[in-house]
Amino acid sequence: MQPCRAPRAARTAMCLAALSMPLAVVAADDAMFFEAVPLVLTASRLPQAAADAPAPITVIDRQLIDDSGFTELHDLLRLVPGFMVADWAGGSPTVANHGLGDAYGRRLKVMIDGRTVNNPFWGNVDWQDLPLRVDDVERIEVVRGPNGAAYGANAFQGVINIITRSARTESGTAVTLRAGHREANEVAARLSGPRTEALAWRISASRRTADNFMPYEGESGEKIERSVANLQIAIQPTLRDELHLQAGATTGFNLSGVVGSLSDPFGKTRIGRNYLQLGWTRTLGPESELSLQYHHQDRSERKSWAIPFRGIDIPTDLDLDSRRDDLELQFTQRLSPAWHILLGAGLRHDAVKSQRYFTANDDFGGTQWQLFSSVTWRPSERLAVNLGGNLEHHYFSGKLFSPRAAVNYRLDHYASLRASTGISYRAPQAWESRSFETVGEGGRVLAIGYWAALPLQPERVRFVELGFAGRIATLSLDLDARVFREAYDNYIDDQACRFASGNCGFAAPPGYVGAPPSYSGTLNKSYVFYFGNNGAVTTTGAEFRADWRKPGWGRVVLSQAFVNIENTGLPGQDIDLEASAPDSMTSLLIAAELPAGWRASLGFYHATRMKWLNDGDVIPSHGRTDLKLSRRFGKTGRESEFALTLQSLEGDYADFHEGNYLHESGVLASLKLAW
Amino acid sequence: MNRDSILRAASIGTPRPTKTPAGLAPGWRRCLCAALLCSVLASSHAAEILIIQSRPGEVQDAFVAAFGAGLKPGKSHRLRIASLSGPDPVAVAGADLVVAVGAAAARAAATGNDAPVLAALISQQEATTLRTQAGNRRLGAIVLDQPMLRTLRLTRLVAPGARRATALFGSENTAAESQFRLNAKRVGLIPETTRIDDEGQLGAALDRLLQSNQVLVAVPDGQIFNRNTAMSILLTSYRYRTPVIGFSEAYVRAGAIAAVFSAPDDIGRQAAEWVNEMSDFAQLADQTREPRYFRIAVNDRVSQALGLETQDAEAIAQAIRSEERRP
Repeated sequence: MQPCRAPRAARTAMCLAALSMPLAVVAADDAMFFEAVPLVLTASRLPQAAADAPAPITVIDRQLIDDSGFTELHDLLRLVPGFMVADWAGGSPTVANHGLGDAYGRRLKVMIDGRTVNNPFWGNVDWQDLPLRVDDVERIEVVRGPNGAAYGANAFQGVINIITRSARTESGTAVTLRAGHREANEVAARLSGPRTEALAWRISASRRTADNFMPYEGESGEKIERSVANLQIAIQPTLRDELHLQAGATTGFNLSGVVGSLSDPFGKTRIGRNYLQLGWTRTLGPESELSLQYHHQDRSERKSWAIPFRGIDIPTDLDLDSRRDDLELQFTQRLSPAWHILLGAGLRHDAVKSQRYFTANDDFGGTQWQLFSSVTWRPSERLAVNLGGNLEHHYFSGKLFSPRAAVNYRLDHYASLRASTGISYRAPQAWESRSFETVGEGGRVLAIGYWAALPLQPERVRFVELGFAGRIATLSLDLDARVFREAYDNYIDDQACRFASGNCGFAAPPGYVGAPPSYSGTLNKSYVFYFGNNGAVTTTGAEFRADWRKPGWGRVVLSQAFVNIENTGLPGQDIDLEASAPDSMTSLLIAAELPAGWRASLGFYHATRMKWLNDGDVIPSHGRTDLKLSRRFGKTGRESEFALTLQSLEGDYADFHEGNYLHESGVLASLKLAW
Repeated sequence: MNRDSILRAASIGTPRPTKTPAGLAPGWRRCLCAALLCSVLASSHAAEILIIQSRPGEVQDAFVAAFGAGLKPGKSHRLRIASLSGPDPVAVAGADLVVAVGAAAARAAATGNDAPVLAALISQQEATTLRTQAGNRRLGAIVLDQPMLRTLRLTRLVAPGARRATALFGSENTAAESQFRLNAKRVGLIPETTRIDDEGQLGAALDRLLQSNQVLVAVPDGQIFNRNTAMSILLTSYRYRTPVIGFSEAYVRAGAIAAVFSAPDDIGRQAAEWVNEMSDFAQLADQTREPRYFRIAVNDRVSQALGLETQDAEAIAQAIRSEERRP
């Protein structure tokens, strides 16, 4: 403009002082219409659209969570096609997808806000210890198949990402009281700061008790108590940056076990769990982002050190400690309308310590790294090709590369066909790779439990699937259907091997060594549990989900899975693998909006006969119907609610092991007051 | 972050304006603007139009360029350009018409000289305030707020299944509130509105309104919709699966499902047309005009996440234009 500046007026100029207006006022005029606004609903904040995903995805949203009436996280997975859920008294509830489930469900990767929560020792998820209440969950995104290409080893049968409610979407205070059958009581409180401040925060705390199982004919009961505290802070220092802090702690105990048992002695196990998660996200565009995340978590189990055995107390260290530190950097960028790329790197250190399980006082575990990438090419409006891969170095399994290729073909704006194929791995966990579990007194070993005597290869699955995902807008109906084939090999089995005969529950693996000579004569137990790569199966099946919703009326969600498992390994492998999934699994949730704030929902869950592996057993075909009736009241929008849930209207049903565990029908009442 | 969230369509997520808001890079536009004004200045016997920018930059320069380009070639105007934020005082005397760009320039011009003032790139609320300050001075204004009916027609097209629409208003924005209620009924929507005095009330108001309404219309009000509140408003609305109709392209990029807005070029063109209409600047009509030219932006990613099937932005714009042409 300089060349055109008008000559300074020599006339009797009325001059407007250049700086007469403060800057803030200048920014307030057209700023509202033209100012940059932070990108909020970016790709990473929205649930993955099933029609665009290179993998089968199910989203359990907040409404579905409320309607289900479930108050425990693992139960929500009953709503996912193909997923199997069970509970038992000796440990955490267990979840599997399409079979191969046992007491320590370790073939699914579970994350809370991107933080992996699988236990570094068992590989499973301590569902009851998670520092998170169902009420704090915004949604759960589930990948219903192997996804090692995106998440690395152990995203083996699927990935569950639990996304908590943002502190920016809540304000005020809420108190929840819950009481139910078998002392299932809970009291919880949440306090949130004003949501429009640059710093948003939420504090929540809860205490929960439950008699999950009553002792029965020599089988363990399980009584639990958990207290949880949680803090979430989100800060937005600039328009493009957001900092997150989450921290939490869980304390409590399990009262379980069998009097006189060496492997599962009766007593109180004190549980402690802490975590800290720090994250920084820089939003570069609606589909472009750089994020850095660190988390630490640790967990401890403390159990009475004296096992009463045949009239004497055997002092034994039953502690189990684990900790994990994890750092991850991820970058996504839309390079052009046709190309999108994701790059990432992660570094993790796991350490587990247990005198009992390792017969040593050392840390077991190690450091692992991973590099992952995913490239999407969209040569036309209808076609998208995705190639992804994850290269990692696992401390037990060495280098692994998990690739995936997927093609999505859009039929219209909201529906697409998908074909995908790839390979995923499951690295053996610390108990499978390094355990030498002994129970003894002084130097005298009375029993050996788990014994990782043999080197193990990671489990592998090669998968291929064809799917459809789409929405029929005119009917308000979302549909998701697919057929799949998953070929597993190097299945890691644990079976009892008798010292005297050399008989194992399966063909004695090469390298079988029999009883350790130094312990002969002292053992009161004549067998150990060995681990071996011993099994290959192929799982084929079909599944679909239909989700129909109509505002003002309600919602119907129907899920169905058909699964068939065939042994394809050597003769002698565990024949139970073939029975480890029901032929048919159904879930149906019907929710109806009623006048005056009332809402009724009915959940029906059915599975045909199946067998949970190892500690589990046959479960006959069974159905379960839950009914929830709720009424919202008080100030609109503040979500005060009274709810009554009747669980398993059909009565009791066998869970995990027909001879050992019964799931009883029950009643649960809850009152939530919010202001 | 979901590592599989990369398969979205190229068009998804990037708002689809019907036209690109700026055809030239800012630097080029400034040069063009400078050249244009220099050439107009050569005419020495013409009426003088003084353009005062609050703060030169991409937005206001685009207005000036479009304004200069839109003036009728046959009319000999002398254009002079000045900036409030420059180091020198702005000399107003001698100008036959002041075109004030932005609120700061408009306030300064409306109170600081006797020439008729055409204010542009300001909000409706600002225009109302200016009119009280301007006294007997001739004051024309072109506001950035879209006609409420246009916004509600967009709402209807983007969320055809919605029966109830809601909007939040600052305590002083009563005129807009009654406009919203009136026009919502015209397009067949049941309106529910609330007024809030400060940001602290925003969370509770959102919870209450979003529970019973199927669409939230963001009506321009800096007290409510600003960069500090965007995160909370858009996340909370999404939690209730309620689409937000925005009023700027940036709000659509941030997460509103769609917006109707006018770019600075559109307002510049309209301002030039107003000037072209006049034979004598002293007869400048004391009017506040709403934007004549507008654009639509749609966020496909959000509409898909909400399960809504939205039309192409251009198709929506055409539909609104044809409705506006109907008597």
